[in-house]
Amino acid sequence: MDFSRETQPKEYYRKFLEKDCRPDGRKLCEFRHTTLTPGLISSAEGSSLVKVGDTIVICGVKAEVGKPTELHPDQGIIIPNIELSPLCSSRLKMSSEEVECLCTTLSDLLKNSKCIDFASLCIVSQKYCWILYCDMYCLSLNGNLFDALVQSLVSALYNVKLPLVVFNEETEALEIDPKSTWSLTIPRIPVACSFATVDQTVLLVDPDAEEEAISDSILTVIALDDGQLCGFYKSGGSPATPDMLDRCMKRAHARGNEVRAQIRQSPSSNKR
Amino acid sequence: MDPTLGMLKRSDGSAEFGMKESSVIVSIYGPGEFTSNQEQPIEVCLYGCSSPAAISRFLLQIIDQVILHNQVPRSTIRISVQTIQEGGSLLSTCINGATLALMDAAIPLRYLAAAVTVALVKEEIVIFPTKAQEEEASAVMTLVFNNIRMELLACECNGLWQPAEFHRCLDTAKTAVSDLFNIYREKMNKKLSLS
Repeated sequence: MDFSRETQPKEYYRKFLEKDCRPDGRKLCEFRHTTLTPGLISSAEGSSLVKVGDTIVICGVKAEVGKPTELHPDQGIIIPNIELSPLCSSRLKMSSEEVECLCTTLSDLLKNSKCIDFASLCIVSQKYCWILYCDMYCLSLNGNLFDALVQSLVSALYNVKLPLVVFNEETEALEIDPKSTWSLTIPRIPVACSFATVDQTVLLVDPDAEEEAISDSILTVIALDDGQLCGFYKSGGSPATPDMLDRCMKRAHARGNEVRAQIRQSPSSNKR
Repeated sequence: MDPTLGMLKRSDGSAEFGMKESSVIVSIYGPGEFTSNQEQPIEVCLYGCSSPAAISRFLLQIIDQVILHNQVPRSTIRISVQTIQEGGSLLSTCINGATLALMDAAIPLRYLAAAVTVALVKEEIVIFPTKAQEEEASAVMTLVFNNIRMELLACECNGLWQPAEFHRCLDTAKTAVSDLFNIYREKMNKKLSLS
C-alpha cells in the first residue's frame, strides 16, 4: 500500500511530474473531461449543469420583472449567487465573505466582458426591467471551482428564454405574451482557465483538489472569442516568469475555443 | 506621496503610504505568542474601506509568501490596515503600506513586494489611476512584483484588453515598481541613520 500520497503528497506528485504526467493519467496541459447539459430545470428560465471531471456545478436562472437601479435606469440586472454547502466537499474552507467576493467577481465579469446586452433587459426605462437571479450550486468539488462556475453561468444565460413583455401605455400595465419567447444575445462568451504552479516552474492545467493543496499559487485567465482577455488573476505565491504568463494565455485561448464550441452547439432542451 | 515609517509608537511597526487619492496607515504587532485556538499565524484586518474581504484575502496571500516563516516559527503577526482616504488604486496602496510596515517592524522577509495599479484609459497607460480614471478605463490591473528579479508575485486584472497591451502594462509597471523600491531604500536609510 502506498501511503506516501497522504503523508508526503508533494514527494508523491514529484515522481509523476518528473515523467511529465499526473497521477490521474492526464498530461500537464490537459483538462479533465467536461460535459455540459443545458435546460435541465424546466421550471427555470434557463439552466445548465457543468461537469469538469468530478467538479459539478449546476446553475439555474429565474427571471422577475422589477425596477431598474437609479445608477442604470436603462439596464436590466443580473444577480449571480453561489451556494457552497458541505455537500460538495469534506475539506471546503471558504468563508461567506470569500463566497461573496466570488459572486462580485462573476458579476463584474459579466459587465466587463460586455458579453450580455444589459439594455435589452430593460422593458420601460426607469420603471420596469428584467432581473435575472442566477443561482449556482456546487454539487461536488474536486478542485477548480472557478472555471466550472463561469462555464455554468454563461451557458445557463445562453439558453435563457424570456417571454415577450410589452408595456401598454393606455392601461399602464405590462402585458405578457407567453407564446413568444426570446433569448439573450450573447455575442462573445468568456471562458475561464485555471492553472496551478508547483515547485515554482511546473504549470498544471485544471488542478484538482489534491493539486490545489500542493500548489504554490493559482493563476486564472479569462479569455474571449476575439483573442481579448477580460480577467487575469494570480494569487500571491511563487513568482511567475513572462514565459509562464504567455503559456497560460495561449492555453486559455485554446480552451476558450473548445468550451465556446460546446456551449454554442449544445441543443437546448428547455421546452419553453 | 511621501511615506512615513514608525509614527505609531505603541506598535511594533507602522507605516503610512499614500498615492494620489488613496492613503492608508498600517500597524503591525508581531512576532507574538501563538495560542492553540488561533487558525492562522498571520492575521490581516482592514478598516474603513468598502470591500475589506477581497483586499484582505489578496494581501494575506502576498504577505504569507513574503515573510520568512522559519525565522518566526509559531508566532502570530497581526497586520491592521486603516484606510484614511479611499480613492483609486486602493489595493496597491494597502500592499505598499503593509510592506513598509513589515520593514519598520523588522520582521524577517524573503524579499520585498511592491504593487502598482495600471489602468488602460483610451489606449494610454495610467499609473496609479484615480477613482474617476478607473471608472473610465477599459482595463484596471493591480500588479505586485518582488525586488529580486522584478518577478510577478500576484496580480488582479479586470476589464478588456489584448495580450500585447498586457505586456506593455507589465513593462510600465516594472519601471514604476523600481522607483518604489528606491523610495523604500531611501526611507530605511533615513530611519536607520537616526537610531
